[in-house]
Amino acid sequence: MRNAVMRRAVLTALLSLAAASTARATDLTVGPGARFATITAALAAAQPGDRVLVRAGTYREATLVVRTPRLTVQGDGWPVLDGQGAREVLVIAADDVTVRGLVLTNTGVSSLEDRAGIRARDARNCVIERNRLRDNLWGIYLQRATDCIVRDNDIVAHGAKQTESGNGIHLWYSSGARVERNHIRGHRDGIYFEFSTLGVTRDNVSEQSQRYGMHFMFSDSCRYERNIFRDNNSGVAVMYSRGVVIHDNRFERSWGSAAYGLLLKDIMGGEISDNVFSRNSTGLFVEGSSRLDVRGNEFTQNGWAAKVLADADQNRFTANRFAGNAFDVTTNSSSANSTFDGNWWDEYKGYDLNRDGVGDVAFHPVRLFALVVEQHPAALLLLRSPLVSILDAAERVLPVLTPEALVDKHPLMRPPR
Amino acid sequence: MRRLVPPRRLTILAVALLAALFAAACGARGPEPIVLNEDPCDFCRMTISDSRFGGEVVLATGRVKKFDSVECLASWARSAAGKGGGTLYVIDLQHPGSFVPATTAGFLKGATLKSPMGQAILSFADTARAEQQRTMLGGTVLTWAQLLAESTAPGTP
Repeated sequence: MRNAVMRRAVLTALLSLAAASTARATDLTVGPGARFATITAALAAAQPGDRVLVRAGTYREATLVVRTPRLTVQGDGWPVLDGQGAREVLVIAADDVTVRGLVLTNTGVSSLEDRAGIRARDARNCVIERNRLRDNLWGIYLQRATDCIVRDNDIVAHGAKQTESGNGIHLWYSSGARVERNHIRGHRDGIYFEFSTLGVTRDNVSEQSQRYGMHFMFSDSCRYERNIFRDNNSGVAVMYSRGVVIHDNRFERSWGSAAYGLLLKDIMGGEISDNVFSRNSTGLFVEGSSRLDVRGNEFTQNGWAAKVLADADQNRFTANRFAGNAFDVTTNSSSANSTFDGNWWDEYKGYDLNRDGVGDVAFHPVRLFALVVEQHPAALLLLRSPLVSILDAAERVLPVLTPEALVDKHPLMRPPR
Repeated sequence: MRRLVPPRRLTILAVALLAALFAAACGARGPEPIVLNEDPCDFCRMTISDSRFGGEVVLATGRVKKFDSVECLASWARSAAGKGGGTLYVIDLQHPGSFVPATTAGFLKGATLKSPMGQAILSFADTARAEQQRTMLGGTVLTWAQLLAESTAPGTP
C-alpha cells in the first residue's frame, strides 16, 4: 500500500519534471525559412523562459512589445529592427526579460512622443546588452523599470546637426540600475538619470553629446566611476541630488561660455575623487552645493580649474593637483565658505625650509584678476598684461579683496600620487 | 569730380538712420530666440536643448532672461527677483521655438509628455488650445495665474 503511494509520488514528480523541461528554454527562431517569419508572431507564441532567436535580416514590423516574463530576445548575425522613421522599435513590458545582439534603428522624429529604440516600461530585472542603436530619437529608455542592467551597447544618434534629439540612455523613475561599458555618441544627453536613485554608472564612454555627456536630476545615492566624458557640448551636469559618488572619471574638452567639465548644482553631500578635469572652459563648477569632499583630482589645462560660488558651503578640497590652468580657483564673492587644504598648485612660489613636503607660506589660489573677470568678463582681454601680473602679485603679498577662506595653508611641494 | 550723393540728401539719410536707431533702441522689446544647446537656463543653469519647452522674461531694462521650462520661469517669477516685474513669455508647444505671452497662454499640467524639469507642464497659445490637446496628452488645463499659485519647487511632480 505504502509502496503504491511512493510509486505514484515518484511518477508524479517525474511527470512534472518532464513537463517543466519541455516548458523551459524553447528556441523560437525567426527569419527567412525559419519557423516564424516575423518577430511579432514569435513573441505572440512565446512562453515564459523561451528564447526568441532572430536571424540576420531586416525586420519592418509594428512596435514589438515583449509581454512574456523571463523571455530572451536574441539576435544572431545582427538582425536589423527598423522603425521606418515612424515608431518606437521594441518595448519590454514584462519582468526578467533579456534583449541582446540586435540592431535597432530609425524611430524617426516626433514632437509629441518620446520614441525610443528600446523602452523598458514598468518592468523589473531587465537586461539590455550588446545591442547597436542607430539613428533613433531616444536610444534606451527605462521608464519605471527597477533593477535593470544596460551594458555593452553601442549607441549613435541620428544626423549630427539635428537639433531635435532625445537622450542615449534615459532613466526615469528607475532605481537600482546598472549602466556599464556603453558607448554613446551624438545624443542630446548621453546618459540621463531623472528621479532614478541607487544607480551605478561605470566604464561608459559618452562623447559629442549635443548637451551633456551625463546628466543627473533628482537622483539620490548614485555612483559613477571610470567613465570617459569628452567633447560634450556643455560637459556633465549633476543637479538636485544627495549623496553622489563621482570617482575616477575623465571630463575632457568641453569648451564654451556655459560649458563645464562637471557642473554641480544643489548637491548635498558627496565625494568627487580621483577624477581628471582636462581642457574644459571650466573644469568643475560648484553652485548651491554643500558638504562635498573633493579629493585627489587632477585639474589640467582648463580655463578655470574650479569655480566655487559663494552659496556653496562646507566643501573641502584636499590633495588635488592644479597645473596649467589659466585660473585655478575663482568665486563670485569675498565670503566664500569652502576650504582648500593640502593641494598641489603649479603656481605656488613658496618654499619649504623644514622639508616636510608642505610649503611654509600659504597659497592664495584666487587671483584678484579672476574676481575682476567674474564681474566684467570682457576684462579677460587683459589676461597676459603686465599690469594684471602686478595687481596679482600685490594681492598675493597683501590680500585685501580675495576671499579669506579660500587659502591653502598647507600647499604641497610635490604633486600628490 | 562729381560727388556720389548730394550733401543735402546725405544729411537726410543720416537723420533717418539716427531716427531708426533711436526707435530700435527705445521700442518695446520682445522675446529673443533661444539658441539651442548654447543658452543656459537663467534659473537652473541647464543648457536649453528642447525647442518645445521654455520661457523668457523681458525686464524693464530690456535685459532678457531665458528659461528651459515653464517650471523654471514660474520658480523665477515667485522668487524675489521675479517680484520686480517684467514681461513673461512661454513657448507655444505647437510651434516650437515661438513665444506667446504667459498671461494669455494655456497650460497642461501632469500631461503624458515630459518637460525639462520633470513636472510635465506644457504651454500653448491659449487655454482653448490646451483643452484641445488635453484629449490626447492628458493632464489639467491651467492659466498662468493658476499655475503660479499651485506649482511647487522643481522636482516635485
